[in-house]
Amino acid sequence: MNALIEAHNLGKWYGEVIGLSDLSVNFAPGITGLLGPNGAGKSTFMRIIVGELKPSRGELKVLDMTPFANRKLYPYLGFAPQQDALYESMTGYGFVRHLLRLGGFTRSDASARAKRAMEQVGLQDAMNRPCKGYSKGMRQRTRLAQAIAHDPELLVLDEPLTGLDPVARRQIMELFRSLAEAGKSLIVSSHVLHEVQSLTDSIVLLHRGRLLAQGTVGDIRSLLSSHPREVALSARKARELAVALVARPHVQRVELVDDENLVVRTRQLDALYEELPGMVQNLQPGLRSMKSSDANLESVFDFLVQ
Amino acid sequence: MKATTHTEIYRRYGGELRSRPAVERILGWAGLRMAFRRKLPALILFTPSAITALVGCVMVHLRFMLAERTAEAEGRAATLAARGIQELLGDTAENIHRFIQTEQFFALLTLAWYGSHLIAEDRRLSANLLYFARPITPLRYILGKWLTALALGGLTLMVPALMICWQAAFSSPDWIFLKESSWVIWRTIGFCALWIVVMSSLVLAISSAFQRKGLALMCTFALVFLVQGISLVIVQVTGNPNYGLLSLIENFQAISEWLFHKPNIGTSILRQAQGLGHQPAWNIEGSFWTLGLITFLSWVVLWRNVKRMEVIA
Repeated sequence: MNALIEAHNLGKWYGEVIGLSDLSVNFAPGITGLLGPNGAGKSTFMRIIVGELKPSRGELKVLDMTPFANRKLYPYLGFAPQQDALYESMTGYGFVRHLLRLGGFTRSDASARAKRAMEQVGLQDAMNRPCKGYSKGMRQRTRLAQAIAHDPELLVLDEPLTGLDPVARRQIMELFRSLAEAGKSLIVSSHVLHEVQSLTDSIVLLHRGRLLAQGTVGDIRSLLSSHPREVALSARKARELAVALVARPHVQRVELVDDENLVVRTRQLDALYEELPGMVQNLQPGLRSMKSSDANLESVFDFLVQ
Repeated sequence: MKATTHTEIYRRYGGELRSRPAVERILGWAGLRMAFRRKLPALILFTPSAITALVGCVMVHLRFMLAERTAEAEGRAATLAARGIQELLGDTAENIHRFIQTEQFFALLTLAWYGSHLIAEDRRLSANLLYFARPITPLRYILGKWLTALALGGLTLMVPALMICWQAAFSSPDWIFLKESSWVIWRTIGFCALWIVVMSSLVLAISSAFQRKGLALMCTFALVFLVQGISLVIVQVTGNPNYGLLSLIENFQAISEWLFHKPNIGTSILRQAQGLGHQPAWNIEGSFWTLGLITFLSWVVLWRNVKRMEVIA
């Protein structure tokens, strides 16, 4: 069997609210990014994977087992929810150890594993401090520590990079990579495309509880090649820059917002990015900023659901 | 550089786990440890209980000491004085009964304070997401939390009451307390166990219904004291003392009187108002049924809320 997770026509609804709708998807071993805007159904899907939620319809197999209320699956799964979940008065180490004990580890084994997990997430210096003094990033890392502490085969991580500073983010990404290299599989949810893109090529896109796209980032990006994109530019000589830009064949439209701001609409964003440095060098328009207003994941979804 | 991901087939977990970890004990112990981590509330809540127990022990000891002195006293005046003080102190069963009546209040404060956060805090923090991703069933989760509540109730009511019994046993000449009044010990244990089981179930059920500890705390006190007040009003209006069965306090008072065959020291306002004096206003079975029903309903609420926690973040 190559698929870690197999979902067939999976559905979950909360009364009249649809969490997941007719989702059929397979997850291969390795790192998979589960992407989608807020409310896409990522957390619902993750909670179904770890067996906390019962699907309203359809079938789900995780490591060949039905996950709902299947406590036998626990040793193979590590789950880090996006919710805080830490007891303020417990130390980070104590919290991880407590959860390991509840999972069935002996006192000494739980202590050793908790210590190792806290070291893995870079919290060895703060592990004996109560969680109430932890920053958002430290809390996030403690949640990660409890997920990896029992050495599971599959890690289900709900927004694990939220709240981390750039240094911590890099450390955690390195940890994810090392876990993947060690043979673990990870499902990492996020609503930020580039975060996941730096970790893996394999992504699953959800939107409004439905599967929107699955595959490599390149495949999905190619779907967008014909989608016009807008880039906002701010320059001292915006008018001169607008004249130069409008002459380019791939540029569909240039809108001069005011004397110093303009918005360019293009069918080939990559071409624009390649040509812009040359224009700036020739015209010296005093370019101050450049922002692709629709380069985020939300706009990808907007395009895909059209 | 992009990370490469492996494509090998997953490997089965090779570690060793206990097939049936003592989840209840671990949860219960963790709850107690967290309760005592904050020193000030522990000091405020347990000190009155400890002082009351100490006073109870001293009174019991004094009573037996004076009884011994009276037997040895030769002068009529000395005998009379010793007897007078003895009467003032009351007998041992009365002392223990009196102690339990007072201690119930402190035990309620402690249990409500600590117990109200036991499940509410998990709900607020969504710690249940982590618990139920582990081999923990809702029942074992409830039992773990209940163990903490039982331990807190035991520490504030059962242990101090047994300390007084212990003191009485050791202070009484020729172990006369154990020989003649051992029923006091068993009934003390019985009453304390009943109180702890009922109140801990109630407090946990309330805790499971809220996400905020403060709300759970207020609801606990409202349920105990407000219902007591309401039942008093209903009794006054209708003239039917059986409405006193609605009140937890009245039911516990009736049972303790029945168990110890002693009138309460601070006779209830309800009975005074009714001119019933120390006589039980209703059949004692009614109190047991009421408390049983409250416990049953508490467990129904608790079970329903914890089952919901299993599926709702």
